[in-house]
Amino acid sequence: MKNLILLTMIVFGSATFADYAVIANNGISAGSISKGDLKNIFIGKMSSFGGTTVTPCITDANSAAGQKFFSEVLGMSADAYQKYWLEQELSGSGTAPEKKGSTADAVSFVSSKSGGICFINAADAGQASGKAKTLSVN
Amino acid sequence: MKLRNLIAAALLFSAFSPFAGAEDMNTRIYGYINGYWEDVDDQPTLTNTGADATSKNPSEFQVPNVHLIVQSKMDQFKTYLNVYGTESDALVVNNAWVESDLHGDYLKFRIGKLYRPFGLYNEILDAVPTYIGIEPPELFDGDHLMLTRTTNAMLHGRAEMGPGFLNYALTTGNDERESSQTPYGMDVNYTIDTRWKIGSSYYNSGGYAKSLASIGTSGKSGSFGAVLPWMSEDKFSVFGGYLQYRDDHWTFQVATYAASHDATRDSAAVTSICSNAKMSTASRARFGCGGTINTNGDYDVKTSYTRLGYTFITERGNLTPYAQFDMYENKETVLDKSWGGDNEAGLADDGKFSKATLGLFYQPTYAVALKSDYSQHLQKVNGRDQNYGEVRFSFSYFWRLQ
Repeated sequence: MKNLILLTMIVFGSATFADYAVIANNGISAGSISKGDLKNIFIGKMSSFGGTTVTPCITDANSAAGQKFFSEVLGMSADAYQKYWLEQELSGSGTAPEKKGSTADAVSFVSSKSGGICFINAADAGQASGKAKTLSVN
Repeated sequence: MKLRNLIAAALLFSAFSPFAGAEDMNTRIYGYINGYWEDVDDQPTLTNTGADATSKNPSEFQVPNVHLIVQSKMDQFKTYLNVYGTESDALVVNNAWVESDLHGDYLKFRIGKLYRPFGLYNEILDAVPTYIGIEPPELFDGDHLMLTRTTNAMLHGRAEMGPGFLNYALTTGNDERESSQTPYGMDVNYTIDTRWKIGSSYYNSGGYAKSLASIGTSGKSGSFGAVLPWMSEDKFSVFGGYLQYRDDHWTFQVATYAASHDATRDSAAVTSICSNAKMSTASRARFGCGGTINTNGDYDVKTSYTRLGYTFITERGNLTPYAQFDMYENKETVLDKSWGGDNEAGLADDGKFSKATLGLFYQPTYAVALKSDYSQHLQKVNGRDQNYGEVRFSFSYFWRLQ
């Protein structure tokens, strides 16, 4: 029984505390990014970072890492974020970040797209090794 | 430098910008279908002699409205197309413009047919699924527009300042100009992330303007702008301010605008109106009906609104009860819409009415929006306070190809 409780704690504990990692195209010279700049990029207010035009993408907003990214960085729910972009797109004010279905897709996008920047589950950051850089968020 | 010269210089600059680093073209297609149903109570009205009467209004469906939006971006260039069609009308091009970055986010140039940035709603009114409420604020109500919604050229941009961004736009276009005038509009606002927005807008006709509609012997023809169809000329300006707060739950908006018109009435058009249109005793006296026509058409317009909503996030979607209060005042308009008037302000003795609204906005998913609301219109008619109700329902479904 103790083992079951321990297993439950590990499974749900790791899900609850899953962290996000921000990966970027190797052409972006910076090694870190502030939460403020990250937010401005993802809400379309900042189109260049460190002199490079950036193109953000998002992965699963409902994953634990996605939820943490939305609440910690963007300060809004995934639902509100979709609504915000719907308004921007229907009024011609901008285009929403592309959605990527998996970490592999996100890594592929970021590695091939100049200025590509995306958040992924931190546990999967190894998949980006050698293909994209991981930015530290401060 | 004249505004027109500035626009010309910007156009030249964007045309000759190097097309370096051309990459892939990113094109997205969106659209939505929406419909509307409205039922107005028996409404107070007036006869041709200004006596009290009642108008019975059958409930009205307006379906379907089909909107198609295409947005494309390549390097520093961007294009946007917004067309819509209804059951009865031909396809209407709401917006079709091309934009070029002149200096990153700081300065962009847009040309074509575009909605002018002016307050909280003008650019998003077509984005029905995104906002609370069904009817537009009175500033942009089609029966009494305070300025044209579209214009032709815009310099705009944003700059990071403190915790937020300063957003600015300068527009010009044909608008309603009489001949070679240069009408211009401005909108400046400050935003903090997606929550706060505070700003101010100004428009000047740049000299005399003329109506896009005309009054013949049988009533109004043509579309509406800010200049009333019985004016031979009108020099006017519009000024106002707005504030918005939005988060996952709350939406709060407040705005106030005023217009000042230095106008001259066309005596032949006013004579036709006096003989044929339904209008209040106050309007008849103002126009000089039955005596010497008064051609001095100077007047002011005032409007303001407050909107408040709270979103309950549930497993079955988002539910947002909302409340709105609108006020509009325009002594110059007349009751009869078929003669270029407005059956709200034109009904009131003092050209003033207010509208209190309670509604519910339900979104089972972000792509579907169902709205229903009830309004009470309040105004003074022939010396007595009168009111009538109105129920509306609207639905919209949004889709996207990526």
